[in-house]
Parts: sequence; structure tokens; C-alpha cells
Amino acid sequence: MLFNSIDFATFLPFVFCVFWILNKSNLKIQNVFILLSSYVFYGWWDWRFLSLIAASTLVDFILAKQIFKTENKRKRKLYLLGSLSFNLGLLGVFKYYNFFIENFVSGFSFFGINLEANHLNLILPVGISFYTFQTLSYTIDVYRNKLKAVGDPIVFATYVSFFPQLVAGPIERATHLIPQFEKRKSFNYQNAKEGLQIMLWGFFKKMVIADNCSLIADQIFNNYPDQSGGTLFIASVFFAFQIYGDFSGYSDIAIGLSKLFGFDLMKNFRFPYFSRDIAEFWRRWHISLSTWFRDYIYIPLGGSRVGKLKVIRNIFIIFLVSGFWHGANWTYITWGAINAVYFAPYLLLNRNRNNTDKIEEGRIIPKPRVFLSIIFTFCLTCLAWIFFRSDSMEQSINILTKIFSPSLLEINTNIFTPNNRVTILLLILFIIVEWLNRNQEHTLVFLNSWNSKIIRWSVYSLIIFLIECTHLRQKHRLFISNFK
Amino acid sequence: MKNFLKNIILFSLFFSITYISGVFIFGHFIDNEYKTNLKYSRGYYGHLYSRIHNIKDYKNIDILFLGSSHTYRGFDTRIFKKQNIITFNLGSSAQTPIQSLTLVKRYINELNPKLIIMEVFPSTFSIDGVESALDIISNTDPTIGYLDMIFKTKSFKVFNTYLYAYTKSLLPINNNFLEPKIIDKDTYIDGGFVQREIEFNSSTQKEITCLNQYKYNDNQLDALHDIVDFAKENNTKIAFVYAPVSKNKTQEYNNHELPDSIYASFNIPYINFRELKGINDSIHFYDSHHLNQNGVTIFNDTLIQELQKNFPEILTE
Repeated sequence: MLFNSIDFATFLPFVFCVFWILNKSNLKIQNVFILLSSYVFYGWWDWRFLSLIAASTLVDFILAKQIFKTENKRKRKLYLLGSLSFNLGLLGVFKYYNFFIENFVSGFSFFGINLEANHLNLILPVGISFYTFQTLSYTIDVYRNKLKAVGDPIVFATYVSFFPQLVAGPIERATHLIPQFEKRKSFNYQNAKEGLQIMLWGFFKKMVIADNCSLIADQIFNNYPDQSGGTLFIASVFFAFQIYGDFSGYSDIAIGLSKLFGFDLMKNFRFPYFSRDIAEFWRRWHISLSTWFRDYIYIPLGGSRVGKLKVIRNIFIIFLVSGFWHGANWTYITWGAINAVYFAPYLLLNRNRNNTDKIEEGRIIPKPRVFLSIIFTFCLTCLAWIFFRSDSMEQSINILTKIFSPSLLEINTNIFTPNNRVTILLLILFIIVEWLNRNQEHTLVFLNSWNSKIIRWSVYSLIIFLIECTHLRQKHRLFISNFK
Repeated sequence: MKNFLKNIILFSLFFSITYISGVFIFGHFIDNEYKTNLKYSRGYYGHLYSRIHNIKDYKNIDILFLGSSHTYRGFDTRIFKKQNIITFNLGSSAQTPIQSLTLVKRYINELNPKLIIMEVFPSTFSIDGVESALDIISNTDPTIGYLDMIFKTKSFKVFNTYLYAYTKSLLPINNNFLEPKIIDKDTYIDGGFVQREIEFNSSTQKEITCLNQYKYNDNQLDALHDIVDFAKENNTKIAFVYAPVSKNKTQEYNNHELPDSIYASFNIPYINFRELKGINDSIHFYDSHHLNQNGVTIFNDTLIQELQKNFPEILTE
């Protein structure tokens, strides 16, 4: 079920009402209800893949219990390996098998040995990359004695499949989310109101910004051989907002939705395009995934407390793995590598924490130096996104070659159709609203300081109106669903 | 919680009023090319406005035709009239069964047909019906009865256009519109038929590069069932007709047994003219799936004979 679907619009009020009615009875029944709702939510897409979630839940529940019970180091390691093999195995089969086979075959053909590839015709299960990482973090945390193994299988199953964040994150840590299933909830008006505000802005990002920007980006990228460098760079800017609106919009909906049910999810995006350098960008972009890689790969490898060469190695490892996590294609891996190249100098020169303060606090117009650093960082990310958007390495290189040519100064004015002009106007409005609230907890928080309910409600109505009047029907699909 | 629910209900009321006002202002004052999700066009393609206003001249007809452009361009009411068969053509551009159901429910009492002919070109079963819904909303007086069609199309564009058209119909705004009888190459004929200036199909030798498969949406099939049930409840006979398409068009698909088996399963007469004898791709079509007037004449003459065989109690020879 997609959040922006009629099915979800009927599913949510029902689940919300029953959930809070059940709050008066015992916690277990409430958790069973959330679990069933989550399975219905997921099974709506394809019920067969519920078995994968159920299997992942069962395996990690049992193995984590075994890890927790035994003090024998060898056995603990064995159980952990079991969990890692199972979860990464699932990902390997469903997401990466064909990639490895293809590269294996082309690798051999390079040496003149022709092998026949047996591709698997598998559907990539929605959300698999998210929930496998979530269960992995649980087993690893139990192994590291950061967390007790959960005794209640319902609590654990609900943690794995919690519907607001099941399909596209944020990737929650067990230490943060599991305790919330173990505590009785009480309805909090302010929390629920804030949840609705976050959801509303999330829908705006997804349905207005992402979907309309994708139309322009697709128009240009799909005909890239005929486009000038300047036009292609503009397309990469629209794609940057497409991917941001898509991904952060969906995360916002998940966070807001959880608040309606009294749950608190971690923040996943903090206005990343206002970052003043790449290091800051990576502290603001897809935070739940970046911190996952930091905690479970980067730090165990020694992090930045090792020699310079090893630091570079560690940076490359996490960025390459991050790229590979997003998709089984060399373009994603290259995107990761480019970001590692962007990021490494900051870390090596100890400048990675230069910009940890609020962005231009108290100022509406940024200082020229800050403005330029924001624009420079944004341009760097746009160039890297080209690999993310392209179907092949050849396409990415062709596009970049055009961008770094004199045709960078040429812009195809045909792209400014009436619909696209409306999109540009909405995008400018969106950037202004986000900029003005860049240092707040969430974008619409400013409305809470307005006393007049009528004005607040008018703003909400205007946002819904813009969603309904500009949303493109055929763009229901999430770009991030490519990641799964 | 009570306070939260109370505010949700109050906001919903507030939002409904502001939304309707917003849609009206948006629909009335903003240029069409900037309106992504609202398309109100009177005199839209296919002469539906003229057809709807023509209904008042007809009563107790023999046959009512429903369907897409194959219908309003394929069933010539004049040819039937020559045989003393009074017909009305309620076809419209890209009409799918969801819209056919809406139209038949709305106009059956006025027209009171003895027989309904539902034209069943398979491609109309795989589309969402948005184009046709916009056409119907713009060119008829929208009623509450359209809500079913609007929910089935699941489109903001259809919903907004309906809201705009409905609000407009309630306000004292000049709603007069006169659709010309001749638009480009099309001439509106009394009874709902649209005659195309004689043209010939030039793409007869098109190379077929890939084969397609007909697909059927559940929503559209449900609507077809509803049409049949509705006709039966009204004691009106009903038949399916597959209007001729060029051989070239037919060859683009490789699962013709699917439509045939679906239509046959309804246990009502199904007359299949997909490959009508005596019809030639270049002489009798003006494009790959629309007959020109030469083709229409042959098709309608043959259809009348078939209908007389299938429904002798209604159409005597």
C-alpha cells in the first residue's frame, strides 16, 4: 500500500481508531493489532512476500535469544554469523544475484571464456533493504550487549514490520523503537497535531515537488543525446529535488504517522540541500542509513582513529556499500565512490565538523560566503546524482561530458512549458518555506506560533489544495522504491 | 482525543468549503494550460454536448448505442432510420464501460430503448476512463449520480472538474454554449452519429514490430456486468457488438480469444465484426480502427440483418 493512495486513506482512519480504542485494553492486544495492520499494509502489495518478513523476524528473534542466553564467545559469534548470513543472503538472492552473475560472466568473457548466465527472474520485495538492516541492527546490538534480547515475539515482530516505516524507513534501531512497543501509550494532542503537520508537508514534498520535478527530469534525461550541457545540468537539479522530495517526503509521512500512534521515529533528513559542505550534507541526508553504516561498519573498521590510509579505506568502504545498498548497478556504486572522494578530504584535514552549528541562525538572507558554499555543495551533489539517475555508466559519462563542455551555457527553452513553469514556481515556494524553517524541528512548526486557527487551517487547506491540483496521477510510484 | 477528533471534523468542514471555493476560482480564472488537475472543456472532442442536447428529441427508441468513438463514428442513425429503426447514439470519445454505465443510468428513462447495443472494443477495457469522464462532466449537467464514476476513476482531475462543473451549474453564471455542427472534418448528425469527411487509411502496410495483448481491468469488467444487470432490471434487451477494425490493427494483438471468451461468458448475444467480410483496410477505414463512411454503410447494413436475426421481436424485417 502506498501512503498516497485511496487504499491507505481508508486504511489509516480505521487503524487509528481501533488502535486508540484498544489502548484501554492490554498492551499485547494493541501490539497484535499493529502487527496485523502492518502485515495487511505490506500484503496489500503482494501477500506472498509476507513470508520473507516473517522468516526474517523468526530467525532473528531466535538467534538473538540464543546470543543473549549463552556466554560462550564462539557460539555467540556463530549465532551472529547465522543472522548475518540469513539477512544478507536474502538481500543477496533477491537484490544482488543477477548483478553478480552478470559481472561474473562479463569478467570471464574479458579473458575470452564464454559462460552462460542463469538469471533469476525474481521480484524484488518492497522494503527488503530496510527491514533486513533493521533486524540486523537488533542482532548486532544484542551481540554487543547493548540490548537485551526481546522476550515477547509479538513486540519483536511489530518492531520489524511497523507499517509507517516498513517500506522506506527511517531504519530504526531496536534500542530506540522496541522500548516504545513495551510501554502503554497515552494519546497526546500536541503530538498528534505535530504528526499531521509533518505528514502534510511530507505529502507535499512527495506529490507536488518530487512527482512534478520527476516529470521535467525525465523529459530531459530520456532525450539526453539531444540536450545541451546546460539543460542536462538543470535536469540534474530537478532530479535532486525529485529524489529529496520522494525520499524525505516518504520519511516525513512515516514520522508523522508514527506520532499519530504515539511513536517517535528518528529524523531522517534535516534540510540537506542547505548544507555548507559535503560532510554536513552527509549528516543531514538519510540520517538513519548513514548512522547505520557509521555504527555497524565504519566504527568497527576503526573509523577515523586509525592511520590516514585506513581512514581513506574506511570512507570508501562505507560509501561504496551505501551506493550498493541503493541498487545493484555500477552507477550506484560510482555515486558512492564520488561521494567518498568529496568527503575524504574533509575528514583527512579534520574539517568534517566545521559546520555543525545552525545554518545562518537569525538571518533571512545568508552571508555571500555561506550562500556560495551552499550553492557549491548543492552543485557537487547534483553532479553525483547524475550517476544515481542514469541507467548505465555510459549514459552518466555522456551526460557529464556534455555538462563539462561549452554547451553548459546553452539552455533549451522548450522545457519551460506552462506545466513546468508551475513546477518551477512551486519549487521556489518550497525552497523559501524550507529555508525559513531550516533550523526548526520540522517545516510547518512555525504555524504553531500563529494564534489564529482560521489562518492555520487556511494554510493547511492551501497545501492540500496544491497537492490535489498539481499532483500527477501517473507518478504514484516512488523513485526510492527502486532501492527496496 | 475528543478534542482532536472534534478539530478533525471541524477542519474537514472548513476544508470542504475552502476547497470548493478554491477549485471554482482556479477553474474559472486560471488559464487552461496551467491547470494540471482540472480540465473543463465544453465542446470537447466528439460532439458530446450536441448529442446530449439532442436526447430531448427522442423517446421510446428501438436501439441505444453505447461505447467509444467506434460507436459514434460507426453506428449511423440514418441508415437504421431507413429501415424504420429509431436509434440514438450515446457513444463518446474514449468511453469505457464505467462511463457507459453512468450515461445509461442517467438517460434510459428519457430514451426508453428496447435494445441496448454495447460496443466492446477491447482497448477501452484497459484504460482508466479519465478522458471520457472529463468529457461527460464538461458536456452534460453534472449530477450526484456521477459520484460512482468519479470514485471509480480515482483521479483528482476528474474530481476537481466535477466539483467545478457542479458549482458552476449552481451559480447564476452564463452557461450558454453553442457547439458548431461541423468541427474540422466531423459533422454532427441528428441522433448522435458523427460523420467524418471521406478519407482513406494510409497506414495499411505498417510493419508489425511487436505483438500486444489485450488486458481487462477488473473495474471495467465489473461495470460491464453492471450494465448488463441494469438492462435486465429495466427489461431492456442488450447485445455486445465488436465493431470492425482493420486487419493491420487486429494483427497487433495475439490474444483475440480472450475478448471473445469474456463476452461469450455473459450469455447475451455477442456479434463479432472484428473481421467483417467485404471490408478492406484502405478503402473502408480512415485510420487503423475507425471506419470511413463507405465502411460504416457496409457495417451497419450487415449489423441490421444480424440484429433482425437475434432480436426478431424488436426488429422486424
